[in-house]
Amino acid sequence: MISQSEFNQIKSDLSGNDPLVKRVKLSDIQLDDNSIKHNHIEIEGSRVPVSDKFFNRLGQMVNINTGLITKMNKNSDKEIETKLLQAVKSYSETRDGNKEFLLIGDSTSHQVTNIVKGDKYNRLSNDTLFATAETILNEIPDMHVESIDRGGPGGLSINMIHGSQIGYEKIGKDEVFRFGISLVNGQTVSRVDDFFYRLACANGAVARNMDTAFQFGQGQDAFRKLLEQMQGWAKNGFVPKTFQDRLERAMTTKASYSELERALYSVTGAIQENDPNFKAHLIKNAESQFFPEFDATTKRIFRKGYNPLQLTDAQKKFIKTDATIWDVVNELTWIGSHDTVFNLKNHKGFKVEGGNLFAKSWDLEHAGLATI
Amino acid sequence: MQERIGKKELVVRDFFEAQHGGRVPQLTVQQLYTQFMTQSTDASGISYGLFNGVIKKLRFETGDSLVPGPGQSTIARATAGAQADSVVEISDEPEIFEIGSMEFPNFRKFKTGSVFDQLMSDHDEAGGIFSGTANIVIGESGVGKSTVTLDMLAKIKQQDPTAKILYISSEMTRNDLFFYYRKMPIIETIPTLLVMDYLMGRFDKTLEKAINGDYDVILIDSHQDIIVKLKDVLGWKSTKAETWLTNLIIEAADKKGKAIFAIQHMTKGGEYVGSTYLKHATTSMMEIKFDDAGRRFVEFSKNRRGGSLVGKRLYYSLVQGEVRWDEAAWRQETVVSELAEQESERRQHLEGQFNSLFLSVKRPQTDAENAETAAE
Repeated sequence: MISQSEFNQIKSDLSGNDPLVKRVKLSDIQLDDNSIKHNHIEIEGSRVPVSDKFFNRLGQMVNINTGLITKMNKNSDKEIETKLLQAVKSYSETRDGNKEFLLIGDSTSHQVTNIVKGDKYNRLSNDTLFATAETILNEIPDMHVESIDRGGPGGLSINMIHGSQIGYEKIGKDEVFRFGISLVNGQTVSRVDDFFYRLACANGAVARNMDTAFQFGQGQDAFRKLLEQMQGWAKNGFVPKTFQDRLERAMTTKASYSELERALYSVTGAIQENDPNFKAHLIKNAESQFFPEFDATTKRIFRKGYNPLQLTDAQKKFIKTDATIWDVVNELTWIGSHDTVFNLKNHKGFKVEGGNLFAKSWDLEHAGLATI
Repeated sequence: MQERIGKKELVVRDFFEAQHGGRVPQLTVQQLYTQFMTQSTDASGISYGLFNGVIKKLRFETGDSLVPGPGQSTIARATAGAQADSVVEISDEPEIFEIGSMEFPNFRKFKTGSVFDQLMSDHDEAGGIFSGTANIVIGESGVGKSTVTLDMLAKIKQQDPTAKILYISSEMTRNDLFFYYRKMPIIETIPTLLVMDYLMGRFDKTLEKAINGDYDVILIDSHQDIIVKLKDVLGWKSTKAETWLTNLIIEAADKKGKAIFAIQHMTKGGEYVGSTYLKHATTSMMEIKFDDAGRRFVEFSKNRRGGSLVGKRLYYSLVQGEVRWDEAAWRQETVVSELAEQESERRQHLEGQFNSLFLSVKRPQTDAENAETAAE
């Protein structure tokens, strides 16, 4: 749990750490022949540096085929790309001249990194996200901040859980949970994800797209709707309606070779080590510590006369492992909630990775039907 | 060269010829227009603007200029005149005042003793209903417009027994009202005028007397229905009926300091049906609605006595024939609007930072631009 002083400290650290934004119309953005070559645009008579990706995003805003832009970038056809962008942008100005766009700037790199349609930018400032969390703490009795995760540009998650504990002893004596929400700030949107916390291992998981997902709109209606939803969710301890059913199925459904491989590679890919020999050693250890079923399944595939390296992902999705989905979810969320010896990059992101695996549809979910 | 006179102008001139011997009496244009609309048989389609233009011409032609007396403002003299029902001298020459030196009435505030007061005005924390206001109440059928406003009248009387309240109902008959009263006993002591009782005569006169009578807070139920009755029973044209009733309400609020609530209907699509004149001339526009979950709430889309309250929802339910305001939800509304306001300020701040970081240094001029500047 996060104490009030820790909460205040993190709030103060992240205050104002938001992407800078400016409302513009397409006609406000001036391009010259060297804009793409030198990565700049002109706004209100000032030359503004932009990131490499900016022109791709601008192209998308005026409906230029993304594949075409990628091809031009690959072939370094910058002049043609500039002319194409200028022409299509001019056309768009005549059709959508009044539409509002937002330029998103990064004060650290001193670049404009993105452009989005005005009505699609629904990101709250970090200050407001913290104020929203404080409001929820005031409005919903027995709500607590479990953890605060930071990651990526502008990324922030405030994970909050409700005090009531829900046990699923029929499924397993350790399966006692507390539920809540995660207030998430992404690059262009703010949203609410499901959050659940397994008491036995102190694992927290953030799951999107279950019942309680909420995305912020604009104005006071967004806050009103959120608080209304919160009060509704609080009545049943924030337990998503489908949680128990999903938990039961996650505990009986085997993870596919593909799902296990993806989980393993996401962990080993996050290991930060410069020495290649030592890194290989760490990878081997992480594999045997977290996902021993992967090695067992690989050997089984070899024994059956197939080379796993030659299998496609679609084929891997049909191969059963000895791990259940719940085993994999637990490993990922454990990594996300604890410090390990492996020095993993953004290890808190595994709370989301585990939660998402729990919430998605699984490869072998309906494998039983194959026997009909 | 002789000026051509249009048909509409001729109608106005005929009216002054027939009623005032071809001269313009010393009344306000609004008073004359009301007279014209009620007395002329051919007044339809003649706008206030055209009428005013013809008056100016006539005054010029007859030399009936209007000049206020020394030390007396046009507004003050007009008000005094209207109240005394006597002739007033009013100039159409503009007289400019400093706002601080204008004469204002002593505004009175009526309270219901509930959180509803906080929704009505924001000039102090307690809120309340100001005298001298014309308020429109809109909402779809069955949402509770009459119930909420009648409850408000009853509670005002409970809080301040000296407050003079009046309910003017054009839609309900005596029998309808009996059953309404059984459901809502709180309305027992509300003084009521049933327009239905006067439909055989000039009920416009009755309405005029009631609205201009000795009442502080008046509820008109409903604006639209009275207009329909003026059309159907007295044969008035739509524009005439609407202008007459709107002027009556605005004058009673503005000149006689009454707080008037007029219920207005909505279209099936949820749109306001009244005129733009009414919408703009009123102090506030109170909307009573259902939310997505079917709960009822009151909010203002316009409120000249409480700008900060616009868009804030006050939820309510009906318990044992009384309106029960949801105080917890109201407190939450305050929190919600604070969050939204903070976020809007932060967005502006981030835009300011963007401008200072990226747009503070102007691009150096090109050679061509330099040459152009030099040539200039």
